Amino acid sequence: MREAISFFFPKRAVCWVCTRVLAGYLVNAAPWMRICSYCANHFRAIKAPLCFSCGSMLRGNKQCGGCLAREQSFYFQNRSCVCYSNLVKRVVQLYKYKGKEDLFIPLASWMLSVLLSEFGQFSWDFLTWVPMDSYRLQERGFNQARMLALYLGQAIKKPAKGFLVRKKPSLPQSLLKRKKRLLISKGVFALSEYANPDVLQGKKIIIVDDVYTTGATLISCASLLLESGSKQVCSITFAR
Amino acid sequence: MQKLKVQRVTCSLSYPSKLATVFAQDAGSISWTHLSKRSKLYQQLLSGRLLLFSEVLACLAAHKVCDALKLITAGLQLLILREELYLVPAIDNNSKKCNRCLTFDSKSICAIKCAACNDECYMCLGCFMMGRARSCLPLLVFKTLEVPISKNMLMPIARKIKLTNPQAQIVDKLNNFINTTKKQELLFFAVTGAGKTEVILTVIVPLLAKGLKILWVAPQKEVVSGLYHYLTTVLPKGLVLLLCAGSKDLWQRALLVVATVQQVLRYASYFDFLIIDEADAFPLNNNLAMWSWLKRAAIPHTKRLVVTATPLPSWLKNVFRGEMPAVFLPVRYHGQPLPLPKIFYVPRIRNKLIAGEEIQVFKEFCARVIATKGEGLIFVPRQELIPLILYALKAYATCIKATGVSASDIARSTKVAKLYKGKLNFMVTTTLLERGVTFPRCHVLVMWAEYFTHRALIQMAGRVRRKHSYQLGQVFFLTERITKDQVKVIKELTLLNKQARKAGFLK
Repeated sequence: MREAISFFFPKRAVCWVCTRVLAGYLVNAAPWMRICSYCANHFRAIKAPLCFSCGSMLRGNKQCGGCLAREQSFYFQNRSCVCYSNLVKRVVQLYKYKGKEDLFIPLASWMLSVLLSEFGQFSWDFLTWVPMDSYRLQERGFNQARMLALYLGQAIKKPAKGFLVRKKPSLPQSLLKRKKRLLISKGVFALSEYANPDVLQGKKIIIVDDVYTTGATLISCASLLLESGSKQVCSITFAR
Repeated sequence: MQKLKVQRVTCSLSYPSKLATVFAQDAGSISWTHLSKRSKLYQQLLSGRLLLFSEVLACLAAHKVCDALKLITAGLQLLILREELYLVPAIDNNSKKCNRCLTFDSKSICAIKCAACNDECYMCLGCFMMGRARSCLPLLVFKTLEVPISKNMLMPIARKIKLTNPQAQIVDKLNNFINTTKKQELLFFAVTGAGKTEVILTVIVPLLAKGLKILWVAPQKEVVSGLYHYLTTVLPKGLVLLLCAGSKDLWQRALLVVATVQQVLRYASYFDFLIIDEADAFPLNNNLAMWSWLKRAAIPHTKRLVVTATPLPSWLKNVFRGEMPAVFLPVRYHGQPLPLPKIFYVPRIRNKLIAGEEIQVFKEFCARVIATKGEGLIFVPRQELIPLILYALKAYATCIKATGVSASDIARSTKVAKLYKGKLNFMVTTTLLERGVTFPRCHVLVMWAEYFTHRALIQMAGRVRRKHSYQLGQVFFLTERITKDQVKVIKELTLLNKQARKAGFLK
């Protein structure tokens, strides 16, 4: 019976940001197609030219000012899907703090397309995610980066493993200023029990997170993995 | 309470949660007197609440109670043993129902892989904006405590409010309902601009003096904050509390609580009297779950006042059957008749606006607003149409200062405040401003009137001529097709005016 009904009244696609019904039956379309025109005005997808290392949009330079100023001794690339506008901020908050978990599907499938187009030419060995401290995990009930990483790992058929743990609880980065963030994120992370030097030796790893702002978190994670012997570490986030 | 089975969960928990086992922790080195003192304090601060554990912590932090987690859990454990506090699972695993938001929608419960309990778990999509309810979390239901208050601070208020003759009659009827009738619910049907707030205020002042806890809910944030600002000018400080999203004192307590419906979610059998303002408006109109929140928030068998200017047909049916008593106020406080809207048939409005063609009525309306130095309120059915109207407005005259406001606007309160102050003279809006706002020199134009229900249209027409000193306001409906609802508006308003004339209330 239900099938008969759904034959005559096929499921309408809704905008995954504001749940408004869309024109057309785009149920299985890509996430950037399944947004209503109103929300699409506030989403700005990141396009070339990009900063080589942090993946932000640029006019012409090869690297942005922030990346040139940073003393970074290793090769690191980040790529993201959309600019961190007000609406994107609200979406990420809805996902992360309010706990609307099913948002991970559109977010991750958008990230998947960027992953394939930007990092597709390398052969990756592992995916990993930015860890969360255990108290906050208890409180929140899920690790937003882990869910994204698991989805991506399934899609590109590579194992996603938690190589990192958070040593001490820190304040949420969204409450801190830039300088303090860069200072504070040193020595926060450590390698977990999965991350033997034999496993990581000469491997290429992608770190997954939801938002890249100053890059403090991701770079400290990457440097840890590189120190323990992995060959190349890059990262992918939803917003930049 | 709407069929909410309160399961008693004792302290030696067979309860599927790590957080709940927190309550069973060893109190250890805390001295008994200190512990019982603290637990009494928690009980005072949290009485009558229905909270998740994270909300309990937030509430205690807001009251500057900075105890260790161990002490708090021990105190709560003591309350459980004294049966002042019950634990209920936030989501029932078997029936798959959220005990917090009582939603009837089976789709809103979804299965998740929970990292906190390392198990399959359910979460509720119905109330996740108010903090996430999971089936591995307990919901803490605190019993209500009687709070003594000082009495004589309330006396000077009642004299300040002057009531007209019809209003005074209504007050008598309402007092009668509160004191004698056995019926629980009363419909207070008063036309827009009748001075409902003043009437209700005079009714509740003696109740407040008795120390009864009163909840005054309205469905929209704008209405609630407007009401709060009015009440704070009349009532003494500390007596009224505003609860809405973004309010600073979410966790304070007061005798009169003015709240949006969503905030009522955090109360259980606490209030002694309920006033449901604009009860037919959006989130309340066909949301049975929200009505059961209201019932849950009040002590069982308390009386409710359902206030509206546009009652639902089902309520009127109940009134005619005699199941629900009703009070009817057909006249505005200044004794002038309700303004009747004028309907204009204009085909292809959108095409004309895009092409820049003149719409005669639109132009007349703008000219009239400017000539009478009024404020023009233009209603559109969708927020996407706001920029189109703004563009058209700018083309008509240079002295037009206009903005658009919709529900998704972050700065909506500041924009409305600007219109109040007279810095703007035109406002393009959706149904957001259809009720609960009073602009003294208001004119109303409804574009695409065929998309609104007759209740919305009556409310919009009711924005006009609310002040006795300014009776020049006009209501225009622009429509591409004349519908039953528009005709019904005129019929209903003329009927109301007739009723008022019959009763001899019109001046």
